[in-house]
Parts: sequence; C-alpha cells; structure tokens
Amino acid sequence: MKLSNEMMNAYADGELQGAERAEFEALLQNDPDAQQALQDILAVKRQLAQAYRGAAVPAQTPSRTMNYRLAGYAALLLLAFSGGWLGSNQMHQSNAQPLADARSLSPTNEMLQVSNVQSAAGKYILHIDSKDHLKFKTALDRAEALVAMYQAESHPYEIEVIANAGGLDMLREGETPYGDRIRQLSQRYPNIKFIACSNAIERLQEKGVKPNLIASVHQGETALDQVVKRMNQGWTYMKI
Amino acid sequence: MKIFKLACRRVALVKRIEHSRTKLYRMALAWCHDPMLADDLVQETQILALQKLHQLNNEAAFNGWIYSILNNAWLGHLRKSRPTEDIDRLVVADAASPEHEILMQQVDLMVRSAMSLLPNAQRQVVSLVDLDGLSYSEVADILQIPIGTVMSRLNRARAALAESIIKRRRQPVQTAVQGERLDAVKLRVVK
Repeated sequence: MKLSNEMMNAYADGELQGAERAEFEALLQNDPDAQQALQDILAVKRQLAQAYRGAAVPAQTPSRTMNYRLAGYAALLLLAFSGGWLGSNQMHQSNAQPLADARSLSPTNEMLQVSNVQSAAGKYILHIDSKDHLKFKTALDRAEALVAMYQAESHPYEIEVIANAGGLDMLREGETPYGDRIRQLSQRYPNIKFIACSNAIERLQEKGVKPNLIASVHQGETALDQVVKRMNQGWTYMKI
Repeated sequence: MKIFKLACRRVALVKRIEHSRTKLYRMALAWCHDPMLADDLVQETQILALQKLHQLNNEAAFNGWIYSILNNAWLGHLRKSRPTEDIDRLVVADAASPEHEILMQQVDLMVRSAMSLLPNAQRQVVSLVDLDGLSYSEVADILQIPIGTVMSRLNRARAALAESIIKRRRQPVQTAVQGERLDAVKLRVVK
C-alpha cells in the first residue's frame, strides 16, 4: 500500500490517531520517498508558521479603539434589554457590615473585582437595584465608610453609587427617605457620584411617572454599561 | 448577582477578543497579504465579534467562532472588490513579477510570497492549520466546507509551497536586482 499525500499531511498535522497512526508509521519505515515527502511537509509547516510570526501588528489608533469600545458597549446594551435582567428582584439580603473594615472584606459575593484586570485602589462602584429602604441605608453607610477610610489615609478615592430597577427610588424626591443625606454627601464629597440608570428612568417615563430625581444625581448611563466600564477599569464592584 | 456575573463574562470575553488581535492580524495577513487591509479586517472582525457575543454559547469554541467571523469579513471584502472572479481561485500576487523574484530571496518573505501565489481557498486552509494549529474539523467548520475538501486543499497548498520554497532553495539563487529598483519594488509590494 502506498501512503497517500493526504495521509502524510494528516500525520504531520496530528490528525491520525491510534491504529491508523501505528499503521502509517509502520508503512513509513519502509518507504524512503514517503519519508522525504513527510520531511518536506514538516519543513513547509515550520516555515509557514515562522513566516507570519514576525509580522508587526499595527498599533491601534485611539479613534479606532474608541469605535471598537463603543460598539462593544452598544452590544452590551442590546443584551441588557433582551436579557431582562433589569427587572430582577431576586437579590440576596445583605447583612449590614461593620463599615470601618470595608477594606478588609475578602472578595465575597458582595465585593468583587474582575480577575485579569489590574485593580484600581480606592475605586468602588456600589450597585443597588432594590427598593428596600434598609438597603438604601446600607449603600449610603458603605459609601460614607469608604470615604472616611480613604480620607483618613489621605488616599485618593472615587465612589459611584449606581441605582437601577427598584433601587432608583433611592434617588427620587418623594420616594427616598434619604434625600437630605444624599444631597449632603454629594455636596461634601465631590468624589461620590450618584448615578441613575437611564433604562430605569426610561421605564418610569414609559409608565407616565416622572422620575423626579434629586438634583445632584447623574444620568445618562445604564447600570450594566457603567458597571462593565468600571470593572474593565479595575474598579471594585459591591452589590448592596 | 446576575448583573455581576453577566458583566464578568462580558468583560472576560471582551478581553479575549482584544487579545486575539495579534493572531487575527497574522491570519488576515496570510490571507490577504496587504497589511492595511489585514488591519481593517481585524478591526471589522473584532467589532462584529463584540456585537455577536451573545451568540457564543460555548466559550471553548471561541477560536473557531472568531476565525469564522474573520473569514466572513474576508470573503465579504473579496465579493465586493472582485465581484466577477472566482474567489476560491483568487491569488494575491503575480508569479512573473519582479516583486516575487526579490521576495523569494529572504526566507520569511519568500514563504509569504509563495503563499500569495496560492489560490485563496488553499491559502486559507493552510494558514488556519499551520499558523494556529487548528484541527481539520475546526477548519471545516470555520470555512463551511467538508473535511475531505480541507484535506485536498491542504495537500495541494503544501505541494505548491514545497515546490516554491524547498525545491527552489535547493537551487542557487540567480536573481540580481539593483538597489534602487529593489526599493521601488518593495514599495509596490506592500501597498
């Protein structure tokens, strides 16, 4: 039996297994022409792999990176709408943590960072999606505790509290019991930013309800978009 | 935690797409032999991949998935720019040209030049197998062709490459071109 070129290629590419491979090797031993042909195939493989390895990849221009990121976030938004997660209320009850030791919390379900992204110290995104007033309080307590901790060490920090779904009520005049506290925090600490998810606002408006947000609250981003962006930048995510 | 898990998976996949840039670029270059076009194809592939992230259910299939997108981008480009030609048979260089002669003098460039003379269908198969070590069945999936076709195209591609690379190297190089001509020629080659 003569070894076909296809067989030799398959052997060179590791596509022959078990008995087929053993049979091929037995035949190869007595076929100097096939041995030479196999050597040629292996040489071509090696040289081809080598030939493009040195190709310099052009640097990405900032505008291109921007387009690419925008496209990515647009895709995320689409998913957010189609996935229906915004309405999810199945969130676990968190215990009020002793706040001064926020920094020493081990990465748990409530405080997470994305591996393989370099973590940015002092940057936190706190996410609230429930209309539970106790959780409103927890969110504000945590934000304040983080500020206290970083200020005590004169360490720069940035904190975002992002609210979506039921959590939006925390930032609505007339709905939140913490309006004054939020106004004070915003005024006293410019590095705490309260953000209302634009999807959640839209949903209220669709129902004909005016969101009536506290004046210092930021708008424009969606929760998922913002969380992904911050996590990409190494921020720590805390679910309230 | 749904939002976090979703976001985490997205972040990981977005990173993976970003990190695929080098290998996508090399593959695209092996297919089109035009650095600028290769860069455009990679860009297009990355954007499409981000938009289609939700279609990727099995992350183990990432490689095949992203190369399929690259393949579609490349074929789309060919259909637009060469609407009347048989894409499978398309070569991206001319064997009789002085460019080809000059490139043959340096091993890597020679190999690339030999690649550029292969019909597109063969060039795509052999680069998927040899640049990224994909299996025949992965290549068949990416290019939407039967495994038998992968094998026969690979065989023809390698035979042609062996002919121009190995057999040629066994012969003494005869071409001699003057310096200024070489520069002019190179400029044209990388356009």
